[in-house]
Amino acid sequence: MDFFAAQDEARERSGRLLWLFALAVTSVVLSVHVAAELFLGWSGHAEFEFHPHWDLLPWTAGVTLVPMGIVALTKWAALSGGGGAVAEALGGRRLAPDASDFHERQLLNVVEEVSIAAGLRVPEVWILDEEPGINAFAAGADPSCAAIAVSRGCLERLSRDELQGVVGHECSHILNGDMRLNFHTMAWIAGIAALFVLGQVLVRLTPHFFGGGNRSGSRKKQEENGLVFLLLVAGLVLLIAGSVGAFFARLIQAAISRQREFLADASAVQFTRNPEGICNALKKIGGYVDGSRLHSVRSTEVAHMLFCDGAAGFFSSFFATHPPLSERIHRLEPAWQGAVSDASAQALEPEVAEETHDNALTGTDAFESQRTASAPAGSGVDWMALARNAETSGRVLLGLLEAFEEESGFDAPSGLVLYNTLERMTLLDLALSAARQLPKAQVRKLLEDCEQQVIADESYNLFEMMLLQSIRRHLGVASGTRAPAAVCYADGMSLRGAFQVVLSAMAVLGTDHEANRDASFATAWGALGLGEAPRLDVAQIPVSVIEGALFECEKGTAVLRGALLRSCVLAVEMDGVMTELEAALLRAVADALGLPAPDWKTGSPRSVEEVNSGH
Amino acid sequence: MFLSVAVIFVAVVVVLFLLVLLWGVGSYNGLVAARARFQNAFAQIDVQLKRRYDLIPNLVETARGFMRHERETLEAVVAARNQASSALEALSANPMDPASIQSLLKAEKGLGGVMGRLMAVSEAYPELKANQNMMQLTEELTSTENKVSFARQGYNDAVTTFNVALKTFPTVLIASFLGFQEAALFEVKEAAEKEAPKVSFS
Repeated sequence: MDFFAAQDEARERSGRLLWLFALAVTSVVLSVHVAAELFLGWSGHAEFEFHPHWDLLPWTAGVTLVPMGIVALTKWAALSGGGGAVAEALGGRRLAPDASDFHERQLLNVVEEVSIAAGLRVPEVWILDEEPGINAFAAGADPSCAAIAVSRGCLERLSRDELQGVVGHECSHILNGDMRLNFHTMAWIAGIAALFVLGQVLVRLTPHFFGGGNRSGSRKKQEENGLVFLLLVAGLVLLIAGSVGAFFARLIQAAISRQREFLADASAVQFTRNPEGICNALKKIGGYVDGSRLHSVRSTEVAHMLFCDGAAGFFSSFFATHPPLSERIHRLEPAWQGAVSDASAQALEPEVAEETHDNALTGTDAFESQRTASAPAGSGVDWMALARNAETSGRVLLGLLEAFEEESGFDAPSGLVLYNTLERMTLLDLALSAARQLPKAQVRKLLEDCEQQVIADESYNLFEMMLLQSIRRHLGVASGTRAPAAVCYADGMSLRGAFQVVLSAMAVLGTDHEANRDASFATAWGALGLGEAPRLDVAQIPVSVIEGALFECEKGTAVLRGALLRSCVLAVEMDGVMTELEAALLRAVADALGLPAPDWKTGSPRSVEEVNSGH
Repeated sequence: MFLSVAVIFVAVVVVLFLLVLLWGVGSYNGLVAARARFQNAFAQIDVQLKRRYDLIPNLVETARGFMRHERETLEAVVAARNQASSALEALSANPMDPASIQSLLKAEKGLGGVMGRLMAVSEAYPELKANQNMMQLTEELTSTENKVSFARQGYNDAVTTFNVALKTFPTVLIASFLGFQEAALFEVKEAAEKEAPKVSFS
C-alpha cells in the first residue's frame, strides 16, 4: 500500500469531518435561537408577526453555549490529566523502564523502537493485567504526557512483529494528535448532551415548582402560568436540540474516529516498514475468542482511543468508533480475501503464538516444541483447527510431509503421530483448501518450502512424491504458477507408457511381498485393456520420471484417468490387504489425477473401516 | 516633489533590503534547524550502535558455554564486532565524514553477516535457545538492531529534507555562502551493487 497517499487521504477527510462538527454545534445554537424567535413572535401578539430579533442571538447563544462550555471544560479537564491517569482508571499498572520480565521487557523495547521510528519521546508504558482480550490504547492530550497501555492478551498472544504493529498504531495516535482531536469532540459532545439534560430538568421540574398552589383566577396565577409555559417550551426546545445535536455529533465523532484509525494503521506501516505485523495482529483479533473485548466498566470512555472496538456488538456500524476489522485488513493487504483466522485455532495460541506466525512457513521449530505434546484432542494442539486456518495451514502441510518422510511413516516424530493415515489425508485436504486463501506470494513461498522439505532429506520416496504432486496441483493453480492441466489425450494408447510407470509404482507400493507384485501389476494392467506389458522395475526409474508420468496422466480425459485410478485400486488391493497407508496412497493418486477419491465400497471388497479395524 | 520621490525610492530600497535580510535570516535558521535534526538523529544511531557493540561480547560469552564446536564462528563475531566498533570510534572523531560513514557501514555489513551465521548455528542448540540469559540478550539485540534501522530511516529522512531545502531555489543562492554543505546519507554506496545486470544473448 502507498502509506503516504493513505495518510494524506485520511487527514483530509478527518479535517472535513471536523468542519461538519463545528457546523453541528452552530446549528444547535441557531435552532435554539430560531425556536426562541418563533416563540416570541407568536406569544407577544395576537397574530403571528415575524420580526427577526438579532439582538436576541447573544442570549440564545449564551443559553446554549454556556452549559455546553462548562460541561465541555469539565470533561476536558478530566481527560487531559495525562495519559497515565486514564490508564490507571482502567486498572492499569505502569511498567518501570527497567522491568526484567521477558514479555514486559520486550514491550518496553518495542515501544522504544517505534518511538525512535516515529520521532517521539518514549511514552509511559502501562499494562492492563486483568484484560485477556487483545487491545491497546494511547492516552494523553499531548505527546509529552502520553501513555500507551496494552492488555495482557496483547503481550501473551502477539508475536514481536505484531506487537510492533499495534504499538506503531498507538504511536500514530500520539503523533497525529488524535487524542487531542478526540478530547475536543468528546468534550463538545458532552456539552451538547448537557443541553438535553438541562431541557429534561426544565420539563420535569417546572410543573412541580409552580403547580403547588390552588389559587385559581388570580392575576398572579395567570402570570405564573405564562412563566410555566415559557419554561416548558424552553425546556422542550433544549431537549430536542440537545438530543438531535448529540445524535449527529456522535455520528460525526464516530466517523472522524474511523478515519483516524485508518490513518493510524497506515502510520504503523510507515514506522515499522512491515505491513504484516499489524495485519496479522488484526487477523488474530478477528479469530480470537476474546477478540479485543475489554472487561473494565470504564472502557467505553476510551472506546475511541483503543486499538480495536472494546465493546462487543454494542455499536451499530454508524456509531462504531473503529472501522470493521476486515476493511482495515483490506486496506493494508488488498490481496486478502479470507475470513479472519479461525477462532478455535487461535484459542490454543498462548504457547505457540510466535511459532505460528514466524515459522508458519518454515515449520520445523514449531514441531520441535510440539513433539512431546501430540494428542489430537485434549493436549492443546488441534491439528484440524490448524489445518482449517490459512495462516497455520502451511505448518500442517510441512508437518504432513515430515510425517510421511519414511515409507513406514507412522512413527514420524511430530505432533501428527496420533492421527491415522486417513485422518492425515483429511488434514491435507483441509490444509490445502485453507492455504489457497493465502495471498499468491505466500502460497508460492509455501510451495517452495514444501519442495525444499521433500528434497532436503535423502529419502525422497514415492509416497512423498505423490503428496507433493497433490500439493503442487492445488497450490500451483492457486498461486498462479501453474495453469490447470488441459486435456490432451483421449486415447489410452498415447498414455500407455505413463500408465505403465504409474501402475508399476502402485504395484510396488501396494503389495508387500516381492513375489506378488507381478500378479498385482498384471491384474491392474489387464483391466486397462491396452495389450501386454511387463512390470517395470521401479527401483531403476528415477522419481522424477514417475512424477513426469503422473503429470502426463493428468492430461488424459476423465474417462482415461478414471480407468487408471480403478487399476490403481486393483493393484493395491490385489494382495487382499489394504493398509491405511495404501488407502491414503490411493487418495493421493486420485488427487494428483484430479479425480475424487475412489469409492471404496465398490472399488474394493473390503471397506476402509474393515481394513482399519482389522489392522 | 523631487524630495518625496527620493524618499519613496530610499524607503523602497530599505524595505526591500529588510525583506531580503529577513528571508536570509529565515532560511539560515531553517537550515540550522534541519541540520540539528539530522545531527540529533545521527546521535541516536551512534548510541544504539554502541549499545549493540556492548551487547555482542555478552552474547558471545553466553553462547560459548553451549557451543563448544563453533569456536570459529564465535571468533569471527568478536573480530567483526571489534572492527565495527573501531570504525564507529573513527567516525565519532570525525562526525558526518562520508568516507568514515562508508567504512562503518562496510564493517556493519560484515558484522551483520557473521551475526546471522551465529544465529543460524545457534538454532542447533536447543538448550542455548532456551537459556534465559540468551533469550534476554537476543531480545535486547533484536531491539537494538531495530532501533538502529529505525534511527537510520529517521536520519536519512532528516538528511533528505535538509538536502532538498539546501538545493531548493532561492535558498541554493546563499547556502554555500552561509557555510552549509550537502549531508551524506547513511546507506551503503557500492558501485557494483547498483550496476544493472549484464544480459547476454549468445
